[in-house]
Amino acid sequence: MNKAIAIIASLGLTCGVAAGLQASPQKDQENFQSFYMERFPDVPKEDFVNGIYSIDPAGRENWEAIEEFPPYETAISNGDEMWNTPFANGKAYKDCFPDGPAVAGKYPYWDKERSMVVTLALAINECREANGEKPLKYKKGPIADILAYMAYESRDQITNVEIPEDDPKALEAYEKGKQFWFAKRGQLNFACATCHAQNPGALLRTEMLSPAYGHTTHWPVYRSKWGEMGTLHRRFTGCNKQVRAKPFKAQGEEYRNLEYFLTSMSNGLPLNGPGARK
Amino acid sequence: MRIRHLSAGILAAALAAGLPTTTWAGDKADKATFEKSLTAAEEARKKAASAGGEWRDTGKIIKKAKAAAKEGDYAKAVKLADKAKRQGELGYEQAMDQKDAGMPAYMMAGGEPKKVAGTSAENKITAELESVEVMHNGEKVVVMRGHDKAATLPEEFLKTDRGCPPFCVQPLTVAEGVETVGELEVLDYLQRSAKGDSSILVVDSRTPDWVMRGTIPGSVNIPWDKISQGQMGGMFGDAGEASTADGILIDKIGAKKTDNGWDFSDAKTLVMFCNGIWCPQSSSNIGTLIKLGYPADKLKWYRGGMQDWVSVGLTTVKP
Repeated sequence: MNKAIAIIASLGLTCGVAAGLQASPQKDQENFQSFYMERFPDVPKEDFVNGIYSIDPAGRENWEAIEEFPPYETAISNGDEMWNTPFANGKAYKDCFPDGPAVAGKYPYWDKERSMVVTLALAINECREANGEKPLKYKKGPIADILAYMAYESRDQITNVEIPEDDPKALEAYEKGKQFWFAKRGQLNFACATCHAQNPGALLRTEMLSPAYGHTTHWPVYRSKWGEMGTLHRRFTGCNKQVRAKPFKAQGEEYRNLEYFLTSMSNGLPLNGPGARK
Repeated sequence: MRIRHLSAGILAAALAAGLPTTTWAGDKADKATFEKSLTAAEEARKKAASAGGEWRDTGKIIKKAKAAAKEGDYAKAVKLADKAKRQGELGYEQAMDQKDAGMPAYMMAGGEPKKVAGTSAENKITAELESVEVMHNGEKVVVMRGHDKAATLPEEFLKTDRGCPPFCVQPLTVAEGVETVGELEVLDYLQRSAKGDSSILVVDSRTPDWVMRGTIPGSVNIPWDKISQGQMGGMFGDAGEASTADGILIDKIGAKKTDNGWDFSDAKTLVMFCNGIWCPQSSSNIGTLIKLGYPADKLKWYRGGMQDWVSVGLTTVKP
């Protein structure tokens, strides 16, 4: 870790003053994506959906072997069952999601009436509560199952997060998510960007840091380190803890705004969830 | 630069906060001392949390402090509570510093910030002048106006009632022979200084807590009290303060102390500012310097100060 701090401190020397120019989400997206494509010119654009395995050939070999018998399959079939099992009141998920389970590509979105970012996980729990069911815990367990099923059904949909221009609150939520991603936090003073923008491809001990472009396409994931499935917000929590910041609530406003920003940065990439990671 | 200094500062502080510290209260800690420390720690933690800047272990450290107190080990309990308080303070400071974090220059194409199409022409400094390159602590900084139509004054410059005295309205001319200057002149001095003219020094006379929130790129901070109180108070015996003030005049400003008093023949041209028309700090410094014999024509006064600088959205930097 000391080495990483030294690297980051030295990088800080060269990056100068961040100009306070506020670019449009569209411009941000172009800058963000071309930054990674210039940083990894040999990685085909579509391959960024594979996260770390787009830049780590050794890890990729292992991963491809794992994908032959995907560890997330049980989650998909559990989720399938959840989808098809009616709630106590006789209704089911399909009554909340009339277009069927293949809707992951529509999330997260800005709900103008409620003036908030709605994620798929949130929509699932709201569906449950509207039908008299208990909400699911947001980080692992059944929520990851139903998300895995819906993600699987949504594969190959294209990430297309819109920041509607007719509502300044939407832009505000986006900017908050952006600020979160670039703000240093915690005792170690790391931003998300410190690892995943300044240092992708560098090693933290034995682990290679992944590029952020494509970070949102493959959730939920089965993580070998967890030995189970987990959601995107579980991962946010873990990242924040690692820099010794107190994590925020899963599906709270901070992480939903973060998901809104981060997903929009991968606009144009196909969805390939659920995934498997180390 | 802002990034570098902050990381270095916070990291150092962070490491310090991670280490056991000796506390003055350690030896004579009792229940009352602990409770005071605990309250302070809780408050600092909550303040950090309110800004989204709470650190991971602060709550745990507070719990440990409580456990130690329960066992009667107040020395340990106070030490832990103080550590938690320090973490809370640093977390809050960090969150405040990072509240405007955005896409950094290295993510912009070519490593330079891309200008938003169509806006750069809309907010120049003057019709002919878009930006000025200055040097701040050895690094280039481009000074320009902001490009955010919704931008408003920073919070610390919103107040209109600060109480006079001491925050009295300053005259247009601060002393006979001292030229009052505006933003464009300040930018010109900064540019000349950046190009290697070492006879110019733009001086932020404010106390460091103000400077931390942002200053004019290219300025150096010489807190007003270091000169004014040092020189004036020093005559009546505070040798420590007087020698600090002497040191500043000699090291930073190029003055010489001779047996016959001060020799300012090689002293720099000082462009002095503080928070603006309601701030007496730079005026007071100029008064002191003139009493010491500093040539008035080598003193320039930027009367508008930070208040005017930020009111037109000019670039600021954190030291």
